[in-house]
Amino acid sequence: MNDYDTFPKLLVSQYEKWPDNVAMRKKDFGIWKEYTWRDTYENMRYLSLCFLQLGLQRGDKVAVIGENEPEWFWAEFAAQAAGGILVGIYTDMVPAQVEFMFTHSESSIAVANDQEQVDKFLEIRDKLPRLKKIIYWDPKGLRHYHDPLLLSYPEAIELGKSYEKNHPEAFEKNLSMGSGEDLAALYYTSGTSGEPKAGMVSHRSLINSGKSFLDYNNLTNTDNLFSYLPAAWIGEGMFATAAHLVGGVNLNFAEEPETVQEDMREIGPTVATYGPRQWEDMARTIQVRISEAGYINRLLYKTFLKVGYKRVDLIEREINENLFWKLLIKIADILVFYPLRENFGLRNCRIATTGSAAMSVDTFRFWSALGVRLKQVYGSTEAGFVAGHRSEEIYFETLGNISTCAEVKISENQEILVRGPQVFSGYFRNEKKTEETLVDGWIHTGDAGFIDQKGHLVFLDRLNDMSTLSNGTGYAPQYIEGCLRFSPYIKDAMSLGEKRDYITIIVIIDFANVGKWAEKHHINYTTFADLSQKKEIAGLIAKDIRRVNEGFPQETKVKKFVLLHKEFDPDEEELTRTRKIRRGFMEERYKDLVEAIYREDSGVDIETQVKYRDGRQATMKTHIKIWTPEEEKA
Amino acid sequence: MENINLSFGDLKAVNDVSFRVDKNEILSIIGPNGAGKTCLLNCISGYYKPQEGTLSFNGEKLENVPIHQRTKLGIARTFQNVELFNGLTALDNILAARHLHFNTGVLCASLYYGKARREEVHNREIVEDILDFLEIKPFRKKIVGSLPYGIRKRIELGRALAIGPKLLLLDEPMSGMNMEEKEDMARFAIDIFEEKKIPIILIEHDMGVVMDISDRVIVLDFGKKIAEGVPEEIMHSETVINAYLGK
Repeated sequence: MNDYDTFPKLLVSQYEKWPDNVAMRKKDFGIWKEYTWRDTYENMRYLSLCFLQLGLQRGDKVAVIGENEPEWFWAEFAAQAAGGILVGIYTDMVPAQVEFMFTHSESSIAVANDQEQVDKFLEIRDKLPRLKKIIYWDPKGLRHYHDPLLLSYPEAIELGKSYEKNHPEAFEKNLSMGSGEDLAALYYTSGTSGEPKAGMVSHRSLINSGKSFLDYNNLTNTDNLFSYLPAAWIGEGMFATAAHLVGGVNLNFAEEPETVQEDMREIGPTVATYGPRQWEDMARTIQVRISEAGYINRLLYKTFLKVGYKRVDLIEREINENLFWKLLIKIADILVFYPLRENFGLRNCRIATTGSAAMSVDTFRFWSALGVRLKQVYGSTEAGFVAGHRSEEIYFETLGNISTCAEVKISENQEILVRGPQVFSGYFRNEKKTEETLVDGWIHTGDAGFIDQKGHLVFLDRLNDMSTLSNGTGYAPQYIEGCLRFSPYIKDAMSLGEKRDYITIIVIIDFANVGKWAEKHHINYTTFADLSQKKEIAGLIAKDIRRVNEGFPQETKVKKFVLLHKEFDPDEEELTRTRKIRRGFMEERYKDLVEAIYREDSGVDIETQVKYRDGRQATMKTHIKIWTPEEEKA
Repeated sequence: MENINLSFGDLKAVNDVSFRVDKNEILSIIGPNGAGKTCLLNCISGYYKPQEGTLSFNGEKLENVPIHQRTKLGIARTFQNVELFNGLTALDNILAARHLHFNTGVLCASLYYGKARREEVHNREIVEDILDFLEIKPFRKKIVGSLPYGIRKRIELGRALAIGPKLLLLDEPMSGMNMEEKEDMARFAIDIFEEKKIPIILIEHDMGVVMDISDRVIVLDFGKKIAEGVPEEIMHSETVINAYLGK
């Protein structure tokens, strides 16, 4: 065991270095409970032995479903230490989806959080012949369950301890048998394009990604990371878990999913990893709260935001600020920006990253003005960590330098191709897709981009999503949508225009903010659907669209828009679990609507199928009006 | 509870009602508006003093025991209209109910040293257990006045639990709630009963809930007890149907 080439080996090395240092923190019963590396190590050890006792063979899969909590990660490490492979399942998946993942991945053991998740497995147990045991770590509400299939977490640990008595060297033997080439996990890709695929990711891949990420940001064991993005997603595995094990970065967990923001404020993590949606959401929240604040607060914010933007200008033009600006920026920080950042748990934040989808330049500039320099992180399940900004070189429009281990080239049709030790090992049980993605050692990312003069990678859009109007003008839909989402009143937007004469937009209003606006302007409404079709609201949204239109050339200006009667919903497969829009599906689903928009109608009746979480279905009939941004001047 | 009579002037609010509740049951009291359900509860908690009749709790006579002493005996209640300290946090509201379990003097408590600290920590742990039990942890530090109604009802239930009751009186815990909140509340009531082994007297208008969770039901009409029995019997009783539908 000389080199630390697997996650469990890395954990052991951290444990040997500083057994009594804090590794994880979780708020429980209102108190931050600390777990040392020793706790983590022991949990991994005995749970791993328990898996062996349950008959886990090398290469078997262990499915884990639950909120981000220490036990989730211990189960991951334990499975890997026994030679098993992690399969993370998203907490909000319905039983049918759990069944698909469990069956497809050929898992045999399930580790579940609480009653809610256990019930899912019990409901579909007849369809899961491989299922041997369900280990649960939160016993609440499970006291009347006496199913032999169930095993509580403490019982599992005891089982592991008793197994050790008869097999004293089993843990060490399995640990040393592991190698970097072994698969660490199956990550189900969000499936922006159809059925989910399981990416096979090796320890080598995750560790290399993690190493370059740490290296870019100088992360060490004094850093704190708040783990709340779905642990079943590779982003969390690549950055949080790998950073934890490779660099010793502390992981912190919220008490409940609802308390993430407050708990984060208490911890004040040094690393903040959000998706673009969350950064946009927070920016929106700030704007709304300010608009409701008192006169003095509004005035201060308005005045100093200008100073903030001046700071951005100076950085962009690479001019050193003179004494006057230096002083003013300092005052702005103290009076306005520091308290704002504090509110969102960004008090100690050194590294703020975004990734996984495009974000508008407006959002970048806004956060920069507040003193939070967002860095892009670019990677995927298939390609690993590919590029990111180093602290000294942050440019809004790029994805940053290419990572130290990755090799990137751009194909003739502008596709980004990646090679290196951090790439994945193929799709599980999907040879065809593997061959399509992994050609001669190069990962075909499906992203269009180029490398600029600074050597930074620039992302245009998904190759398939780069759109062209009927007259041949190209445009990037995600970019337009990102710009629109910066409005406090627009929660989501999807642009249409492929092979059409002009661009149109389907807008999802932000119910909370638009609702407040409506109340303030004495506009009565009942439901989301009702509110969305009000003329006044169309006027409000039209104003934002006109603002965005200003930045576009004549041909790619948005000519029409509709306000959808409901939000995009991952349960209805409109969005992926990481909240990316599934375009192909959407265009099919809202075919009537799309046709009507381009038919120059003034409105259309549409029917949509609604699926509830419990599997029930219903049909919703609505009349949707079609608006033109130029006409709706309120 | 035997031959309880309570009147306000000429109005007989409770007329010669007797019943008992056993340690292992959820007893529901139902009846039309103004039937005297809440009055009956107020007699038990000590808020009203009945003119006639005897009350006993665990073999102890209650008539002359003042309200705060009854609380000490382990009778806890919630109110029909939430009665919390609106300016305090959820945590403080529930912690306030632990007041009678604090034994330290003023001096010791103000120095917050030794026994006082141990006591505070111990009581906080109990409160945290309740917060966890009722799934209101996310609201721990929120000011109660700013919280939604359903959550406030739960906090009030939490406060009743914090007393460490031996009998829990719930006055319309589900009124004004939607279906989901009602289901949650019913689940909590059953959990309290089964897990903490606390008998419950429940006043409720939602017949679905009453019939589902109670072991026994008492029906009041104009201050009189007109029926008593298991839910099944009550549902088919002629008198009850008459009282409710007003034949």
